[in-house]
Amino acid sequence: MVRHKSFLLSKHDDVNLTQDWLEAEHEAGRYAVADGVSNSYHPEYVAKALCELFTALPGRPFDDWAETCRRDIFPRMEEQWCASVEEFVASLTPFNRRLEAARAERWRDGASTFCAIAVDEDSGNADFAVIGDSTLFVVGDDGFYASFCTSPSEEDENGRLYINYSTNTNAVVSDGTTVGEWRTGAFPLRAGFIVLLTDAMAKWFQQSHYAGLHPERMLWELETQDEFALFAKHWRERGEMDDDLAVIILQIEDGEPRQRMLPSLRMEQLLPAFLMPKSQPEKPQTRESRFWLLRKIADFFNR
Amino acid sequence: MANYNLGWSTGHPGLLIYLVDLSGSMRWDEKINRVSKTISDALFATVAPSQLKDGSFLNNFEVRVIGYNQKTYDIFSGNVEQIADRLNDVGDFFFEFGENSPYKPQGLTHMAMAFEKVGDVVSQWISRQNAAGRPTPAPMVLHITDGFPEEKDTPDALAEEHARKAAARLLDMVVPDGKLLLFNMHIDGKPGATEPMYFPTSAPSDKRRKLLFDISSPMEEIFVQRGGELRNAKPQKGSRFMVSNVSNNNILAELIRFGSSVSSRGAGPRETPIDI
Repeated sequence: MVRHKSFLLSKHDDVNLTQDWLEAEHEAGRYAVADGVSNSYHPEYVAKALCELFTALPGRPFDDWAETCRRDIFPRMEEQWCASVEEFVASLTPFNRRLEAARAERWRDGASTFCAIAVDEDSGNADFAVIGDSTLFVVGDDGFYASFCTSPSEEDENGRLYINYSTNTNAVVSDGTTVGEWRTGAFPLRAGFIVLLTDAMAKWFQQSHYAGLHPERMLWELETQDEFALFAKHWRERGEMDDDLAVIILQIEDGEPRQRMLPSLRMEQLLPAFLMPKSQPEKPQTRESRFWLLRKIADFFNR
Repeated sequence: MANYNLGWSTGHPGLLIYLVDLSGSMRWDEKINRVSKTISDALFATVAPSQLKDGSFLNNFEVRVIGYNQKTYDIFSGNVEQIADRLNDVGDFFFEFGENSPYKPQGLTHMAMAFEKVGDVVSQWISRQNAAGRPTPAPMVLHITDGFPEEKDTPDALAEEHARKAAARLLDMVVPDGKLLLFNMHIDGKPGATEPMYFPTSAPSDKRRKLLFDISSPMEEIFVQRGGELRNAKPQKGSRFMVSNVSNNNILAELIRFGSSVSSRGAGPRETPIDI
């Protein structure tokens, strides 16, 4: 059984200003996130078009992904981007149109990363395609962990693969070309989580995973957009997640009551010491309490 | 921290100074008209990326426009929002320069005093940023002039010496991100006997051009790379931030735009991530 949740947050706390986008077409098993490249022209329209078009595709898009892009996605993406830009420009005052012209002259095209997955519960498989630093994570209840994007990565001395989110990103361009190559693949569904994240979240996810914090479980505990906003605020105050944020998380259950593979964790074990409240008096656990979420996560492991 | 690694952002805003010669000769051949208009154009291009979709602006840099002849003039001081308001009000010409304007071109080219004024402004800026705990991108100064140092009742050689010393103090101003950048742009009213010179790599033999060369900042590799985007005049390894005898308006506009934004992009991961 597959269940999903998704969250979207702008770095400016106004979703209308986000350059990330996500779409989740649960009935069809299609999920996608995209991250507009900030130094390009109206990247948000590219991100939105890619996600919408992918999740609405009929048939089996991954049978020939290159052809699917060439025939079904890119031409319509380009049309949609142009139409959105024209509509936006038409709404501007003459002064703002002059600024808009300067932006258009500087950047000419829009660009976006893209990370998409199609989940087939019947066959028990998932297919994916990714370009850029938006990342697909697979985390199994059995300890399995894998990450997929097209940013460079390297192994540390312990054999851990670290994706480098500090370098330039590959992307889809509004004119239907790409900068860099796609990474595509498939994998069997396993009990655990599949997570699609744009880069600021992905960087946090990777760090948290290797710190033993189970970020997939933290994300799965969130229920509403407001909870996610509070969660992001907590991490932003620590210098993380300093960008637009897009999250799609899928929980995969195998139909049997899930055996908890992880030992019971107290909150002190879950989070680094510096996140812990220091000698605080007992406070009522309101939703606005700074650490209510952390206690909720600890409760999960102590069930 | 590596030199010139810090791009302009709301967390560490940049400082861009236009130092404009308002000596009498700037009235000839409509030079001052072109400069005022070109600054307006350049600021439109520099401000545009800071505008969000809802029309608001990110205040990721500040601008000072300082005029000088035998006095200095604080023509404009403000952040991105204030620049946008000004552009909205004035349109094509960023500052007035007509007969009744306080910025009417007249008098001599007291460059030493101008550089000292810029030094004061930059010092105050750095102090303010330090007091606020904000890192400081290296300030950029675009000096636009049609002449060479002159001071009343002072031999030219001495005026030049004063200008050299004042410029040297300016060039020594440094923040962790790097030294202050001084880009000297000498303009002609119309094409003359002297061919333009763009981003020289060695000191010219001509005395006046040599002065400009000596008081211009060297271009680090990152700036030479970004200069590769210019259509008309490309710097090379070892170039200085200096152009001379520029009369073509399109080239002048391109150079001022380049100077206005070349240091705004840090070397960090979010700057020009792909080559479209």
